[in-house]
Amino acid sequence: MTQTTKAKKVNLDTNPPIIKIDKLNKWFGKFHVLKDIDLQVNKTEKIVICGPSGSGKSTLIRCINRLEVHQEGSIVVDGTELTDDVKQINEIRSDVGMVFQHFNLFPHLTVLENCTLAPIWVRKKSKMEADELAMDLLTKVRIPDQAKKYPGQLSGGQQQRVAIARALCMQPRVMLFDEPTSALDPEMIKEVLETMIELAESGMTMLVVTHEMGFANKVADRVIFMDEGQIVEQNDPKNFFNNPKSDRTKLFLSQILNH
Amino acid sequence: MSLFAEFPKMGRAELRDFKKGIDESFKDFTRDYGEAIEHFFDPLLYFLVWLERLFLNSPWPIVMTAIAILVYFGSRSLKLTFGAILAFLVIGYLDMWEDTMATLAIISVATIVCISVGIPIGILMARSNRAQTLITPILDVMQTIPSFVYLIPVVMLLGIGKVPGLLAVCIYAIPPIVRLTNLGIRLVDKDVMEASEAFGASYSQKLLGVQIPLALPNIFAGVNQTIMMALSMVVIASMIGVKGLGVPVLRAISNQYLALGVMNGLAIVVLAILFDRVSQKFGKRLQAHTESMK
Repeated sequence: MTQTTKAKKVNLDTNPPIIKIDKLNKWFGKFHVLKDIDLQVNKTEKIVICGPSGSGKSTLIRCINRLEVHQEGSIVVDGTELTDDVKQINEIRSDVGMVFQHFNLFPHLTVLENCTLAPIWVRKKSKMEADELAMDLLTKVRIPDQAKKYPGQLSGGQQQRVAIARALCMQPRVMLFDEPTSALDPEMIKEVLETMIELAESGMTMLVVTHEMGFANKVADRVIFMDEGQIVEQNDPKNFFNNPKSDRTKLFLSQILNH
Repeated sequence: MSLFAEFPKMGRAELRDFKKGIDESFKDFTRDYGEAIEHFFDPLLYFLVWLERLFLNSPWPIVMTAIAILVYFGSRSLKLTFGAILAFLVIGYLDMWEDTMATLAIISVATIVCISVGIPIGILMARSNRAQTLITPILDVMQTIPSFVYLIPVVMLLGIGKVPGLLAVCIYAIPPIVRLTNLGIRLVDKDVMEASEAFGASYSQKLLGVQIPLALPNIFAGVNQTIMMALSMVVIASMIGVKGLGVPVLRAISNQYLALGVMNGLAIVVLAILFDRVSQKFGKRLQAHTESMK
């Protein structure tokens, strides 16, 4: 899954961050949803972002592919800064895969067509090449036999795995997950998390907004806790779960772990 | 006191001059540009005449077979296909074949014109709220103004004949396709659009790859409505020189021929039902993916 294309931009750092967020501020009307966010993500790093609802964690990752527009600060993805330039935005978007809470599959297309639409239209791949890659990835998420079905005929867990395969078909450098298991029935969460763990093991850079602390513990290089639009605490999972520093983190962890 | 007794109105002479002024300036406009506008619509006229001749000059069994094949491929229903054949046999037997073919020709051309003009306008309306607020009242006027009112300027400009009739039909029949294209695109799930945005799709890629395919059932309902409205205009269009089933209906009204009026009226109904059933069945097939959902 790792991209072989070496960074086109010459960078003197040996290991430049693939995402660099500086002093990011965002408002929804008067509501200050993101406050002075600083975040650097290195290649192949896996980051789990958690926090109470309304803390701005989804908004933060949606800013990275500009599904939300920020007002202050800068976001640099793989050396390119996000501006209003539509072409640049589309280029970044095609390099950043996104998996949504509600899957957002194209209901009028089969599973296979869902996976090949963007590669064919945006990446200008041939249909054969796109089909081959899609089948390969559908096999990796273990649903190649459903390729000819429509999303409406699949279970939630299967749909989400299709959504992951669909995002991977664009061969992204970064994958964003916006609460990928929150809309699923409990018995289907496991199959999606397993797919994500396999993806993590393949070396993909991942930013995951989730409340699945087991997943965070197992996969994350870094866990970030957000509250009221700020990054309150970030640490490696061991230290994050065993000795959280701030009271807010302790409170949050006690609420989600003790039931 | 007289203010309360009588509604304050424009002086009679001024009002006359006012109307006359409008009439005169439109007549001048007609004199200056009428011919150019007429030539502009020439291709449409040639197409309509060609289609009408094609329908009328081909031997009837061939036309009948073509209709049956179209009906079958549209609806995939044998029942409907045999119904269509039977209906056209009865129409022909009752000596309405030629008028029916003429009506079929003008409806086909009107539908093609409405689709090729209406869908782009609908897309424009879906893209920009400003276009929507601007175009919606125009559509309202087109649908509600009595047809006779816009027949006047159309006839003044283009005279009596096929093209003005076709225009009158299109003015009346185009609003549903515009409205339903706009609605269909706007109703496409925002989440799904977000997914296509997240892939870095450009506007036209989103439109052609996701929005239009998902809006197709609605767009098709618009096509269906447009055909129905075009059919309901054939009598009025025949007043300004369009051949077809409207002509005998008009003659029946002025001479009180009950049987003639009812027969031709029913022929229009048969055409309408056929178009409706076939296009609805076709539209349903376009949304095959929804049938599998729970």
